[in-house]
Amino acid sequence: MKKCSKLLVASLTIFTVMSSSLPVFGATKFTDSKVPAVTTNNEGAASMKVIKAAQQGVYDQGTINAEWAKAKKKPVMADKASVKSLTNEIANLTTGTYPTRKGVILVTADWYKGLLPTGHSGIIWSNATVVESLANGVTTGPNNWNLTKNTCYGVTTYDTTVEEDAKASDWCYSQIGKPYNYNYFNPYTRSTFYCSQLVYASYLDLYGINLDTISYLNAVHPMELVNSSETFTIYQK
Amino acid sequence: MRRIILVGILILALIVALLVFLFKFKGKESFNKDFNIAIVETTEQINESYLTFYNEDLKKIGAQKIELGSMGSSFDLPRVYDKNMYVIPKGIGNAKELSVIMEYNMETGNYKTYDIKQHNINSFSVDDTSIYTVNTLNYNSIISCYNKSSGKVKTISIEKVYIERIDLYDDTIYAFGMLNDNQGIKSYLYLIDTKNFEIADKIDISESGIGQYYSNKIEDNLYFTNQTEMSFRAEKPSKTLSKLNIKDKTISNIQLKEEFPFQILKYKNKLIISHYDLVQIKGNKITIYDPKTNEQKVVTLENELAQIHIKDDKLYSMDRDYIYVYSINDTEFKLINKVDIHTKRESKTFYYLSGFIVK
Repeated sequence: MKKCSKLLVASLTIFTVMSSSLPVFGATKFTDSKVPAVTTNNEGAASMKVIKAAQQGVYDQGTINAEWAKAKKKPVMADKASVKSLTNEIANLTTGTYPTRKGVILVTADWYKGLLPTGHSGIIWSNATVVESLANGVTTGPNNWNLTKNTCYGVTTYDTTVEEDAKASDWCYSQIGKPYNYNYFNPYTRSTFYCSQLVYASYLDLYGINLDTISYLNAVHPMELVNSSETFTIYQK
Repeated sequence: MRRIILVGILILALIVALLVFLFKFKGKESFNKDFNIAIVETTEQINESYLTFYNEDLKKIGAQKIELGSMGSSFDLPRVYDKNMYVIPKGIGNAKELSVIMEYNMETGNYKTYDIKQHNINSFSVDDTSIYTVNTLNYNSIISCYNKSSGKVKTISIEKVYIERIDLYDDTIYAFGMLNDNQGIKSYLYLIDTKNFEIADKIDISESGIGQYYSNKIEDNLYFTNQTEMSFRAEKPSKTLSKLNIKDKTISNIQLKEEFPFQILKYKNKLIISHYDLVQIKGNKITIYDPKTNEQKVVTLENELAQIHIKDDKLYSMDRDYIYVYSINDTEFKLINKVDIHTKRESKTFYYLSGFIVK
């Protein structure tokens, strides 16, 4: 019986090795760079555990799906027309066109491995550039969300002019280099930012417009930027 | 009897293992060195991309998984240097945690990464010894020089200017950037001497436009395209092809008939300029421009021109789903083949086509 067990173990070992450890043909072995471990300036590991547990509770998939369903139902409207008064040209006013105007808020519902559960947001800084907060902090990226994201919303606020939106974008740009804020329940700090907090902070600090809704407690989820009564949708993919 | 049972169990286990092996790799595609075209399909959602390989008849002859995400777009197309393809992999979309440039050997299918230690790289160039990159951090753009042998990195910081693209010609990096503040947008071209790795010159190119995403040096001229221009404090589409004489540093702007000039390719004694809006991902026209006579001819092709490439009197072009091949006869372009290259369309993960190379 002992021999039987040994043979069985040997067989299982062969089976396991063959089925899981075979190399992918034609590719060299690659060690993936991981998203840096969660670290904060002032909070210890224990408090981070509490924060993460709370985040998991708040960001449950059912709530997120319901919120995105709400966002999808918002009508797509024409962008603000005040560009015309300045330039005598109507820029990007075709309803549903992917936005290029400085200060338009971009939101995606795409799921990503790591960081904020479901979604991401940024703000257009130039025709081809977006300001966003990523794992390494506030930075810029190409304005190509209509290509690289599966879902994308362009939203803007009711009570600001295009010039004020541009200033909000500049405010976000001036935060470039500040680190990522892993404590989603603290959108009040201005020394660190997560993606939707960055956009939220610019409108709150400059114009007193609060894009946070009652969802997700005091955390600001990207979808709140779409569902807020302060904003309307000008593009949806 | 017991021994027979034991041997039976062992044989059974080996058969099961063999079946699992065969099932796992049934239809599994791999690198094929005989490819003519390699397509990059990538995603922002996980660290995974695919290279798919096609022969001259656009028949798929292989595929290879690359464990890196966000591998480029029209803003940062793959580049070929010597026998290698280079791409910027940024990693997961909302983290962009990677700080590397990938080098893919087109002869062996092996790839490796060079860690520049700068995140969210906007653009890069390569020569025999070094990889040059640019990214923006702390309001400043950082141009890095990574020595491929030693792994040492040197950097130059350019304050408050967002450098979008760098190109390398004859020991000089041409870095295109913009300053965007309350006064509007200014565009600059920095010339960086790679031997001393220092800024040799700075030229105001605001008159040319904004958003330079392609250049080509032909003889003593550096041609570059401009996506937009400033008009009453707002950006509007540009039609400008610019020419910098690298000897006397003078710039001349050539007005084309179509908007959003993008790639500039040399074909015989003419320039082929694609017209493609990188943001709206639209545009299916090309201008055939004769630099000697300034004559222009606009040709409408059948697809959006996310990328074009010319080889052996053929123009290769890609949109979001297909690759197209046109034969070129002087100024006539005839579609001779096309094939659906979006192999991951049905995947749960969202993949997009980001670029291609022709061997």
